[in-house]
Amino acid sequence: MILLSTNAQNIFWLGRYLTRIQYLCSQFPFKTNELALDYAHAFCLPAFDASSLNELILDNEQPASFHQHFLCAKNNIHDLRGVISAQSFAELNQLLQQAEQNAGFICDVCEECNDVLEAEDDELLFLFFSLGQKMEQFDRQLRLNQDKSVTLTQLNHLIDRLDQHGMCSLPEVWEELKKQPDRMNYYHFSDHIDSLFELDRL
Amino acid sequence: MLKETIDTNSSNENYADRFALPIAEAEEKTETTNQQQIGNIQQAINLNIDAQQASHHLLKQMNSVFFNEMTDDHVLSPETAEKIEDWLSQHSIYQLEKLNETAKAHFLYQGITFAVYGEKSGIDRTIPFDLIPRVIAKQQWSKVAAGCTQRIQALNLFLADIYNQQNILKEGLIPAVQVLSHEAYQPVMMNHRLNGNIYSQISGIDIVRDCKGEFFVLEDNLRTPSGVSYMLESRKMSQKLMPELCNQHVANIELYPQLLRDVLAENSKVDCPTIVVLTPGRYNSAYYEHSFLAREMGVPLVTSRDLFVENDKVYVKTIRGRQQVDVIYRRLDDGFLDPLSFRPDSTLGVAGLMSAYLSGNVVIANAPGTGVADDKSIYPYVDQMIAYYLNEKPILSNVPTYQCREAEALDYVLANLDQLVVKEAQGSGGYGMLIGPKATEQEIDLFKMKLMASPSAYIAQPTLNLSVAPTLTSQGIAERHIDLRPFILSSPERIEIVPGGLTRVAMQQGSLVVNSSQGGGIKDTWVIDEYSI
Repeated sequence: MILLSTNAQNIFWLGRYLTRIQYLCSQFPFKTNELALDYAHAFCLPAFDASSLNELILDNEQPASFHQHFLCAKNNIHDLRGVISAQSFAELNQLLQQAEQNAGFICDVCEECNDVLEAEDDELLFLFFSLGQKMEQFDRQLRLNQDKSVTLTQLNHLIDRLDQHGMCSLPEVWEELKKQPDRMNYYHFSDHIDSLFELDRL
Repeated sequence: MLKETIDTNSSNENYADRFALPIAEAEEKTETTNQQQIGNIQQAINLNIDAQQASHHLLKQMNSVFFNEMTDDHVLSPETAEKIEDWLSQHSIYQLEKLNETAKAHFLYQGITFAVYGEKSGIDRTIPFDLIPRVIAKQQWSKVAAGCTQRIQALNLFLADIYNQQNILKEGLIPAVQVLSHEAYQPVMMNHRLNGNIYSQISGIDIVRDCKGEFFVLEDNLRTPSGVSYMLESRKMSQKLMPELCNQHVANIELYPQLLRDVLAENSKVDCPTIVVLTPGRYNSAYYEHSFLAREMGVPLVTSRDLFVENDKVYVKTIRGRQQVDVIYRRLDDGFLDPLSFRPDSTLGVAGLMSAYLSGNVVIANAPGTGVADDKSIYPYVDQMIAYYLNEKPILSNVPTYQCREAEALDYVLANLDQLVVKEAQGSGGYGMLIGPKATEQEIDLFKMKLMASPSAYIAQPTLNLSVAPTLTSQGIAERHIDLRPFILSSPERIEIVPGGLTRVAMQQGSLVVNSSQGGGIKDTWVIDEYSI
């Protein structure tokens, strides 16, 4: 089956959004101002303490809120309807409806969405989903000065597998990031991934 | 109408359990002594025996003035109706309703929904499914299939003619101005020859039956006919709910997606062509069907973002680079296909697509410009097309039609509005029509004004006593009007029709409107080889 650039982009970003929501779920509600400020500064959010950050995350109008991230994930899922299996879509659709009816379910729903997508048969689709998950993790770890070693190993393995599937331009750019895993190289690598999705020339 | 709340095939054991409902009802309604309770049980047993006997004529009890598809077709073996009756009788009405609800829950779970434009956004509807199938004898189906094949052949030849030599117009069989000034007529298609003269690769013909059981064509759909996914999902539902019945003697339709893929491929001159389904996207009311067909055929579902044209060739953007596209099964209207050729504000189409198409580098199914042939104002001429292009008599008749653009017809229509069905020539979805016998005086007066203001926009037909089929309703099994939409696939090599099609049912008593956008439901359609039963 042909994998469209838009499909790859949608599943990649779905991986990113679900991972982002899951991390937020693990931190919310922020209990200390210090943790809250670290997070707010890292992600350039207009919050100055735990209370204001928690409020922002619950404000449906805020781009950094649970609701908005969930909407983005939902849009990705619907745009992938033609490529994921009917059964997977049905399960995801049910999960989405549960979360829409009760926002409190968003965290559980995201975890279950991950499980559904990880069980998809199409390996290339799965690889791009994983790439999204790992890139989101890496981004967060960079911003919050967390340990990146495990993510680097996982990404390395992922890039290998993608290379075997014909994504031959990735390893070279990846090597730069692997050698020096800083923000500049991360953004450079991220831009390269974006360019894969815009590719319309051989 | 018999209402069943008691299992009619109860064994002698567990009688008390079986009759828990009637006893409970008796207790609630009356304060009785033990003697009276025994009497009530006896009464309930007698009622059950009566119910068992009555259930054998469950469907015939409807005693309809309309043609009952299940019981009035003498070609259909009575055993067919009996088998279905027996199956129904094994379930109480409550259980049957539960089964219909199971179908609804399944449709919701699978996301088999559609949106109605104009309704509050975000509201997706499921289409009501009725588990009682519509049954057609194979012999009858053969006639329908032959009639549809003939009709589509003639319509494709008509399209080839009006976009090239225009012989039928020159000979005056159809007024040239009616065709050439039609808003669906695409001058860009003139003098462009298509492979095998196939303009409409995927067609849907709406068929009804009158009180004598005669089949009539109500309407042709040659642009982007929809509903085939519901035909397939209905069958899956029947197989789930009544496998013992459904898997015997019913003609197979599961091959439709593969057939569609093969027919689309045959329309291309390329070996192993790359096929895509072009959708407007997830906000389109039929997005579910677009994704269903793409997935079932194993081809990509694309939007305009995924395609581009270079040197008059169409390419799809894949993660491995561009890939040339050979066939586009498009589910967009003509006007949105290409902003360089049609609506410049369209973001749903692909710039340069028509140039690639006219250069012969891509097949578009269905071709631009087919809409002129499925217009209700051209419909009255189809019989003549069959005679002219095929030298044959029509196998399926048209419903008699008055073209309001003709003065004499308009006079008749205005004088008899209360007895006619009046439709917009370019309408669809059951909107913009008047059903005279059911309309109020005010509605009729309003419609008169519309007619007089723009007569050429309307056609009128007498109301047919449409056939009915037994349908599960909240009052039990009752008759409801139905129609049938077979789907016809055409390529230069062949014309194929899967047996049956989509049966649409008007869910309201007495209603003739079967369109899903107006509350219509669906039934599975069983073509049964009566000689194999």
